[in-house]
Amino acid sequence: MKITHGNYELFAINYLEGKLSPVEAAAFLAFLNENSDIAEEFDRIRKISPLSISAEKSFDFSYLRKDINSLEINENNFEEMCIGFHEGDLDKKTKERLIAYIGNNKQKLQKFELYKNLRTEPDKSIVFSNKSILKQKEPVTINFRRVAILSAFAAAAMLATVFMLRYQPSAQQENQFVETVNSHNKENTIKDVQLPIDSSSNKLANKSTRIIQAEKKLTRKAENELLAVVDTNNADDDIILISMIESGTIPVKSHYSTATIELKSVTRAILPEAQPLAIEQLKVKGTSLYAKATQITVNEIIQTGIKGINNMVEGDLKFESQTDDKGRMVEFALSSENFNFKRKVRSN
Amino acid sequence: MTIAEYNLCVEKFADGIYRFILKNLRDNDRSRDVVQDTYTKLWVRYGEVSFEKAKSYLFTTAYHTMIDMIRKDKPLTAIDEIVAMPESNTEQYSDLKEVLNEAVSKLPEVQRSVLLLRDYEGYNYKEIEEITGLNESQVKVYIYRARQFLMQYFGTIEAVI
Repeated sequence: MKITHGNYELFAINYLEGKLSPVEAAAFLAFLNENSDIAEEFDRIRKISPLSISAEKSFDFSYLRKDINSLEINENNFEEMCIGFHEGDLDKKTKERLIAYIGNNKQKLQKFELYKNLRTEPDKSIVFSNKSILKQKEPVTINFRRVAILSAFAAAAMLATVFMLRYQPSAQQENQFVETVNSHNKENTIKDVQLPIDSSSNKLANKSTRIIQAEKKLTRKAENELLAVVDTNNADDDIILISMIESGTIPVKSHYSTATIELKSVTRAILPEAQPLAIEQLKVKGTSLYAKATQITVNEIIQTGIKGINNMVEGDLKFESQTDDKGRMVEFALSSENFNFKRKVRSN
Repeated sequence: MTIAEYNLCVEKFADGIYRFILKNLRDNDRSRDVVQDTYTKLWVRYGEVSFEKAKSYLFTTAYHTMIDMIRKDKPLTAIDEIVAMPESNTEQYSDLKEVLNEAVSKLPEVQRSVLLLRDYEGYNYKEIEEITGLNESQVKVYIYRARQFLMQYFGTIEAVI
């Protein structure tokens, strides 16, 4: 930007504030050389402008300070020396000089001692009562996944507890039976096809789908409809079949005729009272019906649930149970630091 | 600072701050308010303030909260201008502590504050400078004047048995 009579004030101010670049500053000074009237005006402004003063460095007046330790002790500064002594402001030599100055002067010594005692002390009996209002609690961070899992455990525990209180399980019912029905129709009966059972693991060795196709001639045409119930290829209908057995609604074996039954491995508890009928009707091997699964007992479910609850609430809830010689739960107890609850299991 | 450290600050420093403020304000409720305000401010910034600096932060905040409170009550009076001239005391005292407490209560606010920070909490000049915002020389001067005031308050040495 060219410096003119119209804008030189801006350059003047910036020059005083040191904001012009070297090139601009040189241009501004050249402009002043060419315009003596403006140069005179600028000179007056510079002399009175606080801007130019602010650019000056301030003086260092620290040399004017006096060190108390360098002073000679006299009547005028005696009190200050006493205070300095007790505040720890004096060096060793000055302290010695002060002690020497006091000497045997009783009045000075008393004053010196009084300054020593003029230190205020806090009254420790004054306390801020109820500090708990000032304290803060740790925020609770919720891990929803964890809570969900723990909630499931807790729910399981509660359900199991309710179940236990209302239902007297038999030793057999406490176990879960794994029952696989693999059968086919043959000559109006469903015969066991001798599927391998892994007795060592108490689980069925093969959980893959087993297809047993058995074709039979219908001896009674009218009963075909009933057979449709079991003439399926999915496990759900296997369960229906077992349910029918349990409920006693299964057709008598004469109702079975030719049918194709595809049964998948069915893991299903079957009521004890229905078991003889199932054996009879399905002709399944007794061992397969009673094949015992890896047991998950009510007690284990409760213990898992209790653990979950404790994790959630950081509690110390304990569950203990007593069983009879048949393994049936006869008594249980829930306890924690704050309560103890005992109850005998109702026997039906 | 962790929450546990914050709570430790409550345990360690709340009483000291309360005594310091109470000695200045001489009003239980208002002193409690100052302490609560102070800890609320610390809580807002507890993540930024280190445990090591917490005590200084608390006293600084409490001091300024107190000054604000005093200024609200006495808006036209500059704190460091309130200078009560000690009167020579002719009463007989059997307890120096009692006299001291009375004398301290008559000190100008600023002098009382620096004196209490010095005596109650053992802060050095530099620390008092940081808490009060005064410079070191001012702190020294105020302490000196406070001690002189106390001395003059006693009147004659013989007044204290």
